[in-house]
Amino acid sequence: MSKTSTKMLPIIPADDLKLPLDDASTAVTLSRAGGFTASPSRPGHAGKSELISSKRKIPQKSFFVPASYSHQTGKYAVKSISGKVWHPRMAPGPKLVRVINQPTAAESLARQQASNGPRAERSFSISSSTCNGSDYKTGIITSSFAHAISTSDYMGFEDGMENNISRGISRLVSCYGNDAVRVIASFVPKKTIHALVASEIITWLSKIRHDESRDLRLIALHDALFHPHPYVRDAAMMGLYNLNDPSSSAHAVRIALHFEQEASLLGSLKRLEKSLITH
Amino acid sequence: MVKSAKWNTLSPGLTDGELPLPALRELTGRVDEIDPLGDTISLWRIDDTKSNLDRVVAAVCGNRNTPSHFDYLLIDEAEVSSASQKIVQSKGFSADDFVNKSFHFDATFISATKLVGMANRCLQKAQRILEKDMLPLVRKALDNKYFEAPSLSEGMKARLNGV
Repeated sequence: MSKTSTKMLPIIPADDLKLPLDDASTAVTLSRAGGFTASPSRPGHAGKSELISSKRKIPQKSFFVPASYSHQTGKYAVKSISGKVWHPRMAPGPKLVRVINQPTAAESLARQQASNGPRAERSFSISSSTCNGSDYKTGIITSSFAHAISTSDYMGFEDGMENNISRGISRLVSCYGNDAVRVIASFVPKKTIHALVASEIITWLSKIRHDESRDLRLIALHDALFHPHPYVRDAAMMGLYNLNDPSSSAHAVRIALHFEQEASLLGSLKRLEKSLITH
Repeated sequence: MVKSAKWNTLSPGLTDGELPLPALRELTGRVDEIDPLGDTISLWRIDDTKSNLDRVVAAVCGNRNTPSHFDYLLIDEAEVSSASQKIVQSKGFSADDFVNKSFHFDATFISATKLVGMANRCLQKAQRILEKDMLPLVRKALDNKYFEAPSLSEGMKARLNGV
């Protein structure tokens, strides 16, 4: 028998957190000292929880759910549909939780377990039968888009010319809508993604014609304005020119102006701000 | 045609004045059937008065899958001549036949040192035409019948029609 005991992390309704569900840049400073309890969730809003540290945000792994705590290693195990991962930053103690998505079957199980109280010597695993359609869909989108990236010639990207990434984004967003945008945008901040690939992702997120996901794509572009690499920030600026949404973009651009240090990009940002104001 | 961010910005890890590898890669030809050695780069000749710049930009953009901004480097012809082994006029690949026949050249490089030297002098010199400024150029080219609308991509047609 596994030497692990289950301590479920709190599932918190989105309304309690007072934050936009899709605002990836918002860190919630909400902690609980022990007493892992499950709160009832509002249908259709509360959902998947994601651990973030109090100082630094853990990279988004949207199909991961918190699983169990091991007394042997002193760490939390995080299990995904692809296997088990030990995350070094997950130490016992208060945790911060951000609600980002619909509840998964795994979380329903988590709530059920939490309502029964923590039990010793019980491990928690996510089998394929407990993964609902949302997890499955995310996995499909992730693997499909990762394949598109791996087969693209990132040194040969040309402005205005289609490539595997653009075709992948177009196909996935038309099939999966906002879910696809969420997953695709989560590739951009990854350190393993080349800046040219990240900038291409941002470029095509701004170019595709898909009204339903426009707000999410705008948020992805706003986040990209603060990306460490200038190629990505440049692509975000050009994307905001194209989407031309002064009401939502003006504030992000003004903040970015304070942080931008590249002279050429600063000039572009100022022109972008001016263009947003004049519209 | 280049990506201006590669030339005008300083990538993390580089010091001021260093040539980013992605920028140099834009000046080294892609190894393929047409250019098996990858030592030839495609150039468009622009008049000193830039009188043909708009037409060349419209022609190149008219060949794209989707509208986008247009980044380019203007390099002095004497600079290219001294750095390259030869410059040969060849048929270009754009929407405008006249531009393809008249303004396109292939420059072949055999000295990496000279190529890097030329690239170094191009740093911070990339220029950009925004998409909103590029679209009128394509529209004007269509009005002047430099090329025909059916030859444009669906994305470009939709954008020109204001969709």
